[in-house]
Amino acid sequence: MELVFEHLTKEYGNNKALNDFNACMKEGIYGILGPNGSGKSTLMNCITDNIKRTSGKILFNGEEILSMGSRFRQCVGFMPQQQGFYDNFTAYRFLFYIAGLKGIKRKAAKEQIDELLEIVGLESEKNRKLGGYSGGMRQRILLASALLGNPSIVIMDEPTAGLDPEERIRTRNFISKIAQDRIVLLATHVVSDIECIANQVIMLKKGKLIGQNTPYELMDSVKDKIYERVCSSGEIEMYQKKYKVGNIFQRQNGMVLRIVADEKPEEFEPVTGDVSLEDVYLYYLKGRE
Amino acid sequence: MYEIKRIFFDRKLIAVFAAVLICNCFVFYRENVSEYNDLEYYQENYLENYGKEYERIIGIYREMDIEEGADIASSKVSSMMNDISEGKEVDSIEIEVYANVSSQLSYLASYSNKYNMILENAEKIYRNKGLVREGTFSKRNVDKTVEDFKITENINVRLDSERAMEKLIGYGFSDYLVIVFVVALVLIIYKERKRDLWNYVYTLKNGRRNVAAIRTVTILLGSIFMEICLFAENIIMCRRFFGSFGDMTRAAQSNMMFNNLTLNINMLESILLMFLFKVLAAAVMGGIFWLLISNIKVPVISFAIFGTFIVLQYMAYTEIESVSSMKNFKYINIFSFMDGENMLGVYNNLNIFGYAFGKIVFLTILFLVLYGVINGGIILMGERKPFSSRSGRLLGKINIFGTKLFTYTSVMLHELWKLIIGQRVWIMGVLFFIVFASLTKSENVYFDYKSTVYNQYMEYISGGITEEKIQYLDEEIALWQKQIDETGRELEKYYNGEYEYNDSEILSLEKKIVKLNDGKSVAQELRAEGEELKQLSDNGYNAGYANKITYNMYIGNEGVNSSNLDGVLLMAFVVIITALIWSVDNQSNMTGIIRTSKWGRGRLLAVKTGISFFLAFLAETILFIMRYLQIDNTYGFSNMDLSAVSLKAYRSIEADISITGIIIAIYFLRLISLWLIICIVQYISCNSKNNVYSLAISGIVLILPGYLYYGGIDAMKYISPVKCVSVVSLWIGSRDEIIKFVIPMLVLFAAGCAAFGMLVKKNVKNILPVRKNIRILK
Repeated sequence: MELVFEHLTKEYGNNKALNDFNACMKEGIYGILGPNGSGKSTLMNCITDNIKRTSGKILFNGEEILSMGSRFRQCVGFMPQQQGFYDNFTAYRFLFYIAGLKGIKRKAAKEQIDELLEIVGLESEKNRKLGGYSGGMRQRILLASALLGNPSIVIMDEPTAGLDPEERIRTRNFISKIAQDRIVLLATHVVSDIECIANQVIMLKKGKLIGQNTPYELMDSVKDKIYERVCSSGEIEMYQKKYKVGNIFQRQNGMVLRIVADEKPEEFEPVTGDVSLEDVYLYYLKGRE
Repeated sequence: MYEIKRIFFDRKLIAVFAAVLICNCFVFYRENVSEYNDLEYYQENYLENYGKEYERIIGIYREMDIEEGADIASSKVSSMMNDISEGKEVDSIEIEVYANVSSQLSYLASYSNKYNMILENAEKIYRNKGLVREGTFSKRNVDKTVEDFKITENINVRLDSERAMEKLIGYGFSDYLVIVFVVALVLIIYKERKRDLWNYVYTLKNGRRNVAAIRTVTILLGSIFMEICLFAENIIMCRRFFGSFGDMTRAAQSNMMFNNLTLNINMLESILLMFLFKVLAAAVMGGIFWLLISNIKVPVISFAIFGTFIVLQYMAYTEIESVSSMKNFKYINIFSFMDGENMLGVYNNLNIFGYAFGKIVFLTILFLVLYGVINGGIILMGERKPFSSRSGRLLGKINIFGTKLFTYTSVMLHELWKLIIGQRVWIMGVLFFIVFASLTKSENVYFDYKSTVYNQYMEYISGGITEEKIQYLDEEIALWQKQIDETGRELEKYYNGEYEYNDSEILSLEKKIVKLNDGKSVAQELRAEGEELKQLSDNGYNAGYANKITYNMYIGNEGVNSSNLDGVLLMAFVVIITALIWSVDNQSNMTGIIRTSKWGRGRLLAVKTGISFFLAFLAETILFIMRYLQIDNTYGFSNMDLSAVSLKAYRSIEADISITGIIIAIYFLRLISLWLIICIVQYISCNSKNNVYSLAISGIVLILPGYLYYGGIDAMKYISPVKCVSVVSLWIGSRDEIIKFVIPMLVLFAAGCAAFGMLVKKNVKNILPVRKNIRILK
């Protein structure tokens, strides 16, 4: 199973939301990283055919998805960013509605819905109206609805937004589990989610593919470009103007400032062995025109 | 201030406000103006001509002494009546206006004697000591009446234009609309609870009593604002259709409707007083509703209590007779207080523990106290910790039961649920049905002499044409003629002096001749029609006599007015249900998920179109059948198997279609129009980011042109789709009517097809969806 993108471009007037995007995806989790406006949602909407691409091809197992039509949509599970619902629907009715839209028969739908509700931990809440659900519960219902019909491609936009740490870990593990025989596309600003479960990271900036690799390789590529130093609050402000500043930690000996840079600044010390995907994000995607 | 701004700029409230104004305008027009458009009974531009003549004659008599003017006007009316009996040409509008002005002047002339009459009546009652024992309500009532009416001695009434004022006082529908607005306003305030924002507001420094006080002010401001707008609208409508309000400084009693008013106020003050009564009543109602809904956790219970209260009040006001022992419930009543005509025009003293209290003073104080108590309660309760609303236990159980029961995967059923239950379209359906039922109830109709004779003939001759029937009509014509001759001879004897001159006898004979001539002309018309029908029959048509009165009401010109009303209502219903069908998905940001699903495009379009068409079909069929039953019960249908050519309006049809066929064709024509309308509304809905936007645009595009057309803007006839939905006839033969129908039909057809094409392109082909949705998805 493979999903191939060939010269995919989407323009809004003169603005290229996606610029000559080329990629090949096989089973596994693909984390899409990029700042706001980098083209993550546009890429997802092109795959779900919710927007018309300007040029390029998207091939699923060698066949253009537009010509596949509903056959392709049958293979797709889409979980958009947290959003409104039909507040008058109960979770149970909502999932049956989505099952109906996905063309799932009643008996199979009932089995799948019961199973998914148990997985997302909402079985006891299934008869409550969605209007009364918390943000985290809504996310879980969206996740369940995306997985209805056992889709081969799962597209998730910010799946862990609004979840508490425990729920986030549980959801992450669940996504990891279901990705064995599926293509899972994961767009999120929570870099740690991608770091934990993604097999491949796709980095987008201003619609262009900046890079694609495993998280390990990417982290390895920046491991000698991270520096730290203890400094005062006045100095922080100065360094923020000068370097790409990452985290600021409170330590016993004061505030520790972490930066990424190609050359070692005199006053900073290199960091060894403690590289995260956040550093990769900073290095590749922050301020690099 | 921000709280008030938040509430008054709420889109839903703005939509309700617009709907209230439109509805008020429509009902005012329908109640007061539309009857004058019936050219069968009124001349063309009747209202305008009447208004001009009225103003002219009022101008002449205004400067005269009232008693002198009353005498002159009365003798003028008598002389005009004589002219009519002598067969002279008299302008019907002029005589009507003179009769009106004369009765106005007689009232004004007699007003100076009003106090004396009251005194005389009181003395008569005093003489009957059994009726008015000292210390009883009756005695106090008579005493108070005499005392109250003493003021009328000093009131100088004047003649002026009163038509617009009468309409303004008599029109009461706005009162119900204010209640609707106030209820909507309270619900908008209540939204905070639904969204659990009270948690935040309650913890703020000014989030308790201050907010509660602001809410009372908001309800009062809302009531004032809506009343001002409705009053302004009513005044504009009255001015537009019924002319000037006259000099507003004249005594209010100058208008006959206020003849029992015991306050020394002028016309402007009377309007202000009515306005204040209405505002106070609306604010009290809003306060009561807010008290209920903000203190009862289950909103449904608040609605039920408030609804019951309103219904009981209304029933008490309309059903209890003024002589009933329970009449206090009729008068100490919100609807009584809101009704300006009742408050200022009807004199009553209320029996409160045996004491007589003037209605105006008592109710005003009562409502002021009520207002104070209710709002004080609201402010005090502002300290009380609010709560989130929840569904009632019963509703919750029904919902769970429904969820368990409907574990189906049919998109159609879920879409139906979403629309009918989720968007509360069932309420619309019930309202629609109630309105239709009230509009189509059977009624007793007055037939003029010609129609009565015609109906009697039709009882015998309706159906296929035969020689026997033709011969019967010939005999009837001869019989009428014989009677005319005999009556003519009788009359001649009076003219020649053979009989002693008798004014009333002559008049009665003259009237009889007119009636006999009418009868004869009916028989002659039927005879002539018989010839035509016979010829058609010979040409192979199943031609025969069909009752033109019945069919004209159902599929002819006579039914145009009721059909237009049906059309407007049907369109409003269809537009409302269809406007929500896609926009609800956009509003909930569900479009992304839906469109990514297997059946989320073409099939969903088919399902949604099917649902709106099914509901429209249901409404149209119910309406068509109810209208049929109403006309059948009132006039009676018969011979529906005859060829349509039997009806004069369809004589130019060459194909042999039965009358039933024509009725079915009209029914389908309306359905096609509805289908096209559904396509347009669906397209608007599909491109609307929320329900309010979709409803507003659909209303503007589809209902407003019809509304303006019936409001008098003739150019709208070309683009008003109401004309297509309300089609009652196939308009064969009349070029004007063909143009009136064909042009909007073509416009609708082109727009409907284009909309459907774009819908298909958007939902079936893989084309860009709503831009706004993409933005939301991003």
